[in-house]
Amino acid sequence: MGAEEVADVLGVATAAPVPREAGRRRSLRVLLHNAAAALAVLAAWQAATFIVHSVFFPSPWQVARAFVDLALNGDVAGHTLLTHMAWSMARLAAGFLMGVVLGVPLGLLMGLYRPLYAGTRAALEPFRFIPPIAWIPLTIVLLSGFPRYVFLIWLGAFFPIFVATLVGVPRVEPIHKNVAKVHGAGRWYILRKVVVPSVLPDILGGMRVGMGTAWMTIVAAEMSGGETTGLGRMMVNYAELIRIPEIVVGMILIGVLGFAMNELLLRIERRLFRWRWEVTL
Amino acid sequence: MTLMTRWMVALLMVLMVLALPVVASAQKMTTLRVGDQIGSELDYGPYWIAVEKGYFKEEGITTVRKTYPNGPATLLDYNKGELDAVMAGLGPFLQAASQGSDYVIVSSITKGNAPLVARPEIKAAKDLNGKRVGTPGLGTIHDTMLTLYEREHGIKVEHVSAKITDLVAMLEKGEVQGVLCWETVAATTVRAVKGAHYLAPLPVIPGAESLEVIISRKIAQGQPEVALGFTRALLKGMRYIDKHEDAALAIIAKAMNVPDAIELARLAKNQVKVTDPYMEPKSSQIIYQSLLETKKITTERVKGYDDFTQRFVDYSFLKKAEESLKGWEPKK
Amino acid sequence: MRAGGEKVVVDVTQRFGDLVVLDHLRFSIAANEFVCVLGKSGCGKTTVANLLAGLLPCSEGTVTIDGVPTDPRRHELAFVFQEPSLWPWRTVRDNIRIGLEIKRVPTPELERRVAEMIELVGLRGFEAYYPYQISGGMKQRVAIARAFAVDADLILMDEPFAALDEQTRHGMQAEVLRIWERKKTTVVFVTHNLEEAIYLAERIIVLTEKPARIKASLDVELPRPRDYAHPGFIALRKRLGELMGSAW
Repeated sequence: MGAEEVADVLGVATAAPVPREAGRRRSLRVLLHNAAAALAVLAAWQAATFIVHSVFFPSPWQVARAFVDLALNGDVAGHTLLTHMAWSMARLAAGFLMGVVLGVPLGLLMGLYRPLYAGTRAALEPFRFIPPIAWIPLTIVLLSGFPRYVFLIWLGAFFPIFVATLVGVPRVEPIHKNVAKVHGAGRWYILRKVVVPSVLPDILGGMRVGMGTAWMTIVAAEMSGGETTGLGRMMVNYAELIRIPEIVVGMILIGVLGFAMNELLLRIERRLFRWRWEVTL
Repeated sequence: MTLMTRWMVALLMVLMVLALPVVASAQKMTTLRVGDQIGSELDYGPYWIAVEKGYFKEEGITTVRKTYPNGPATLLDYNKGELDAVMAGLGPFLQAASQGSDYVIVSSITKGNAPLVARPEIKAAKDLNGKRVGTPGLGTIHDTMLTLYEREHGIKVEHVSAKITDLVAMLEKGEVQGVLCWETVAATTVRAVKGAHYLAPLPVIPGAESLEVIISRKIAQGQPEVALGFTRALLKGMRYIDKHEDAALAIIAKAMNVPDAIELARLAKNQVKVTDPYMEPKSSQIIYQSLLETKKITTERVKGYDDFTQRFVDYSFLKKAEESLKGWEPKK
Repeated sequence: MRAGGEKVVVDVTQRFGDLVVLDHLRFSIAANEFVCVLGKSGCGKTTVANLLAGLLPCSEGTVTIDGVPTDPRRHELAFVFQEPSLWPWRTVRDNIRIGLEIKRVPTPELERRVAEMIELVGLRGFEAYYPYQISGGMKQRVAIARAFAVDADLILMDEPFAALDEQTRHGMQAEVLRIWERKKTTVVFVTHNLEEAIYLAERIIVLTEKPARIKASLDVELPRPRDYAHPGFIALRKRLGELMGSAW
């Protein structure tokens, strides 16, 4: 009889918590690996500038200089880097929040009442396949300023969240619902205490996808004109002046901020879903 | 090979040899890829006249036109080698040179072309203070003209960049209170937006420099005859407009290919002058200074305005063209 | 049949479409009786359990508890399923409180009962563990704790130990009896395992194959704890084997 079987007979838990020091050592190693990878990327970039040798292909050094200049002195139009970042993030936050507020309840509703979904599918699904960017010309004519961005962001965020919620509802284990039913639970209790906790991982997965789409939309939306702030707008301004290093600064910031937000959501997911031992990517 | 086949082959070879001169002369046509902007047919009038009247063909040049949303976008493609000649604003050209782009200005083509259109409630310059004015892009000459307008009238406005085709909608919605862009878009805006008017039809500097024509240095040095031919055709176009304005407007209206084109062209023509091939020096210098002050250019590569004109402006083709066109009369 | 009144009365014919699963099935259960429903796999035993628990409506006939048709809202019911049924997002403690939570038992009483059950099933120290961290046997113990935590009118158990290995199963059987003796509840235990039925039940109801009827209802009068080697045990086992072996 092996240790596992003994443990099972005695009913002892076999999952042992990871000791603290081993955990810290491992995260340090991961950090070092990542730093090495980043350095490799920089080296490859620098090497590429030697090969390509064009005035319009900036080296890491030029980009770094442009970043410092932007950070200290602001851009050509007088806006600081922080202003641009703050505006892009604010627009994203507003649209994303709307996406969650509308997407989750609607997804739950359609998931629980299948006939409702089946009856509206043909009319509403096609909208899902129109990329937010395709809406830009229409929004320029019909909307102005902040609401325009919020709408475009909302388009990018809503559908992934809605679909993830919708798809998650029928996947709620009937046995979990039966446990509640046997003890006399009503539909409202089952919705709050069984369906929502079951679907929450799917919702958060959808939120991460929606966040990604929304972030990419904000950049395209800002490039299309109408506002003076935002990372996308900053990039286009410098493109007009053919100042490539600043464009690359914008790109890197967009990538870093997008990455940071994704990581934030991942952390939230990990905390909320301690009860799952599968890792979500 | 049978006898019949041998005769066929011989005949074929004779035909090919005879065809060679024809092919050779056909190859004498050079293709030039020319970049310009949307809705700029009036501003680049001489170009359109030259196309329509066959002036380019006479020089052995076939033009292929590529259109972009604004000057800076045109130059981005030029830098990649996608274009041989570009027509755009002085501002974008100065900015490009400052960043390492290389080209030769063979001719100026437009003066003025900086109309400021405003909503009905904006009656004077001071009404614009603190408001939003749309331009076709931060890097366009019109953005710089707006800066000069602000300076002249002691006001401060928010420069809002947008695609040239969106500016009309934005003015109509009140998203911006004014628009400074090229003709005939400005004329379109005045007609499309109820109550909109030309707050400032002419730039603050009279006869201000606006748009230039460049050829790649490779062609200017390697195929000077092509550069010359191109310049001469444009010059002919300018002379035609000078002599036969109404007919020229009709040709340009046809090229615009929009409803009411002729009315728009007539409304717009007072804001632009397209018959002077030489750059206006005073306004050009002021533009250069303004770009330096607003940090749109640096002195890293181009040390000053004189350095710029020395390295990037070449009137030799123009001079030769003028010489060869002495006494030339444009036929209607 | 034990004299103790008829707490649960079953009188159903259950159809799924045209298929008759239970054919005029009639039996009753006394209060606090431990009854095993024994039958081959697929004979409809699970359907019986679901009907008793009010998870399935009767197509024809009634299932009553205290004279009233089974209603999870009116009656206090509990079910230990064969598959793990714990809510993965809740800890052991929070899983046990589900029934009490739904029936809105006041917090002090709720906490007391949960603590009591944790002790009873021997899970002290594991209150804050999540289902993924505990073994199959432990999971069923939590389910049992959940079922006995409420003051149930009826507890259903549908082959709860079928997925466990033999050693664990024997341990769990002893535990269930121990808890039942402490808490005194009416239990209907569904199984296809002859030994299990004899070990646990006061009375065994044997079902035929589909469409199921009652083949026999045997009282088990062996002393507890039941000894597998006891001649009475062996004889009863033989008897049940014969009953099960022959189809109706």
